[in-house]
Amino acid sequence: MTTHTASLFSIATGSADPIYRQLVEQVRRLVAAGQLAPGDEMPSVREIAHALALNPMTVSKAYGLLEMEGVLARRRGLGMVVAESSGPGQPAERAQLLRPTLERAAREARQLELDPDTVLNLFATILKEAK
Amino acid sequence: MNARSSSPLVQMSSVTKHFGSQRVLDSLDWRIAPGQVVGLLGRNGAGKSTLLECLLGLREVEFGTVKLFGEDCASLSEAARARIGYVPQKAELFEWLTPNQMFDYFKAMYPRWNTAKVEGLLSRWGFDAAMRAKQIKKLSGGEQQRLSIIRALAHDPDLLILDEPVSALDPVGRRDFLRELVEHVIERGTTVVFSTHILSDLERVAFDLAFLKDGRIALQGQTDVLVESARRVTMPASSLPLKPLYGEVRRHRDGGVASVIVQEAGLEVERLASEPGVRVEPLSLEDLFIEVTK
Amino acid sequence: MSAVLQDYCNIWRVTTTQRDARSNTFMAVLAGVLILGFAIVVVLDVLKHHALSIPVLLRVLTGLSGFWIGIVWATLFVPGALLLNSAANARLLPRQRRRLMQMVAGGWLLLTFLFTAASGSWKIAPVVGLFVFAFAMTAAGNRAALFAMILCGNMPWLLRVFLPSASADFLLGEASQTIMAVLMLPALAWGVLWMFPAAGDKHYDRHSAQVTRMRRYENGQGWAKESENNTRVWHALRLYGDALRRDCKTRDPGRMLMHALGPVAHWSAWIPSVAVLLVIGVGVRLALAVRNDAHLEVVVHGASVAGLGGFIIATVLGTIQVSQQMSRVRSEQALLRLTPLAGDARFLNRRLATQLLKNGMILWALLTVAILVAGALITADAGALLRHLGLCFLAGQVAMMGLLGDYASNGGWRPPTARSLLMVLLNSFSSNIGWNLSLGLRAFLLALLEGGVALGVGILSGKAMFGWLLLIAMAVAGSVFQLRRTWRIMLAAPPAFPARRFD
Repeated sequence: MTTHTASLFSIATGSADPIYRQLVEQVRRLVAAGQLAPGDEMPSVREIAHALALNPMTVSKAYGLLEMEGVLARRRGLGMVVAESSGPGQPAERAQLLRPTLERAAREARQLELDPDTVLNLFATILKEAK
Repeated sequence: MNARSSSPLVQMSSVTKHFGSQRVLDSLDWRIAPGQVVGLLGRNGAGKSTLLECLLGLREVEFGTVKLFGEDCASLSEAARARIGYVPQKAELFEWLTPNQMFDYFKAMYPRWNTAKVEGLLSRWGFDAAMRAKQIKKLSGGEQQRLSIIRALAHDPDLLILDEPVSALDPVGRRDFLRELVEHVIERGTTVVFSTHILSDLERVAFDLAFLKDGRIALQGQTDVLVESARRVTMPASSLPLKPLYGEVRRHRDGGVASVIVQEAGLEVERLASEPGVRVEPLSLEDLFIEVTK
Repeated sequence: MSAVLQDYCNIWRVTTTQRDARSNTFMAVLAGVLILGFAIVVVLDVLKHHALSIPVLLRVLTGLSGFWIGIVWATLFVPGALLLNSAANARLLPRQRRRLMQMVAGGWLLLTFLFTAASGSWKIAPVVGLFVFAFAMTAAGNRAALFAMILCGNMPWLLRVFLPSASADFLLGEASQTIMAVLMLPALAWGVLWMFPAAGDKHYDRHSAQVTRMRRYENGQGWAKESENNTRVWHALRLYGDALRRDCKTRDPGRMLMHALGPVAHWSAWIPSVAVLLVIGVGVRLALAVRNDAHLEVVVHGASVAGLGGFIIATVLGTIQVSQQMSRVRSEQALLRLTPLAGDARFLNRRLATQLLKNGMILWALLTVAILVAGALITADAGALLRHLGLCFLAGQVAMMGLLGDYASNGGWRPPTARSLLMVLLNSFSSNIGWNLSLGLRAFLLALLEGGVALGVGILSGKAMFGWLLLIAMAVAGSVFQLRRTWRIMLAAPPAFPARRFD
């Protein structure tokens, strides 16, 4: 039951991703990676807004979205906490997080007019190297 | 935040203004709800300052009405005036006074004055006693701008109009200003209209954006939504449909390659995306700004 | 055309058109007026059967051309040349700097020659030279030169007052004149080098100060008063600060509005000048008491009229300054328009008009009293005092003409925009505020008219006193009439802050 501070987050302006989406992605990754355990207290909207100089409504929007997804839950008196049902989760759920990157790679592969087998072999080689 | 009333705080209807033969504002309509934080964007010389001055009743308009707090802006009551804060573009104001004298002067002008806030901001933003007794014209551009901002915030306004308030501040100064805006101004439910070229600042604090182009508000909406939905579709010129796509903002041909900017990726764009040689990319705010205001 | 001449032509073109694109028109109009004047003189001369000899006519022509060259050189060329000599230019284009200095020195030599030839006597060459040089330096924003000019003009009688007549005669005699003529050249060299610094730290300091002073000058701040609140007027600034604090406590809307204009438009800015005037008066009185020379008294008496006359002109310029200031502090005015205390548009003009009038009256009264006291100290002649009083009232009338009006529409002096002289004359009947050419013309003509009538009455009745009293009465009547008219205009006009937004 650790309480986290706003230093959990970092945002980049000037990207094609709006800021609330960046926050949402970061929370998802942290939960999937286990750094945010179920029951952990999340920093309040005000805290994040102050630390990162963001409009509180943006932070609220991100939290709202996460609450709807079930990643976070609202507890009376405690603010937002990481939901019980979330966690490092099944590999399938974690794999979903990789989807955006893979979609980008797929688009590029299509532009380079590569066939799926070549691409998959390349990916397998890279994964072996990364180990 | 305070409960919001449904009537708009700022209401501009069919506002038209000429400078000589040039039409600066052309039948412009704009509504700002209470508590909104709006970024006003536009090219240099598009008329952002003029728009804000007309909004405040500092310039008369040839046609149209401007209402602030439900009152006509040319005849604002004293109570309404006490709720407005304005940071003009020119920062070197009241140059012959010292900051102390200047704040005393404005304190006498307003019924409500938050001396504690002024003191706090002055000390946090680097104004020691020696600097407060120096004439404003001897201070640097950044220091003058910071004084302008403090002066506008000092009487806890409900409507804050900022005309390029941070143009002379370094990144640290800007971040301090944004923090102050977030912590004390936005939290109180103040309505903020913010005109600036520094898009990263707007991305952080402006929940809504308005683009001024050709004398009108060409595009208006929530920052997130605008940035998220806008797309650039690049395709070979041969595949370019003749009819404008749904939500198209502009199209551009460069030799054999054509690109179309759409505000929203409709069905046509999705269909095009599956065709070979077609690329659909999201846009950053800067790209969107450039495309919308071209 | 040789390269050097080409350089000169290029530089001339750039400097004279840099400040104002209409300066070509201005130069042409001025030349036209002078030529017309000369033609009239020639015609009159022919009608009077050649009363004036050819050499005299030539001297008049020389004088007029010197006048034209002088005005153009000092007001257009020299300031433009200063602006051209920025730090980057001085370092990267040393040839330009050399040419600029040559042209300034050449212009000075030419003018000194022309004026000396026009006067017909070589004795005045040093004084003329110094005067021309000081005039140019003043136009370039050098304050010390202004003092030198005033001092120079009053030098003869000041010397006679403060020094034993023998030494005064020596200083004003031939030997010293020659010495001064010789000293002129190194002084000129030093002055030119001062005006055009080569690059370096001193360049930045001096050049930027020059440029700011020049901008203030050309914006109409003029040579009467400078708003630069440095140590010289530090005491006045203290007074202004005290006045500001008092007004903040009482929260009088009218006074608070006026503070938007800054210390320049506040009567406290004149305290140092008044003090100086009184000190001079006391000093002269003491000197006369010690010396006790009747002949001297006459000289002093005559000179005091000139000196005080300059001061009276300064009064007028001081009120002009308020007009100027109104159009320069528009952003400050915008801020004030949004404040609750000063704000209500319905009352804005009334409050402003009341306060402008009060300030104008206070300033006028202050200066008139100072002039009368100084005059009384210098000479006990009641007639002279009446003359001073008359001139003060006349100056007051002129000053009051431009005080109130529709500030939202236009205000402030601007160079003639007319393409033809006819348009200038037509404009003079249409505009209603601000010290523009038309208002200046009207004020001048009215003053001339009243002066003429008073003079006539004085001559006819044989007693000058009647003339002066009549002048005072006419000036008061004229002021009241003008003020009532402009008061009505101002109250019916749109809110005055921010000024000149309908330009």
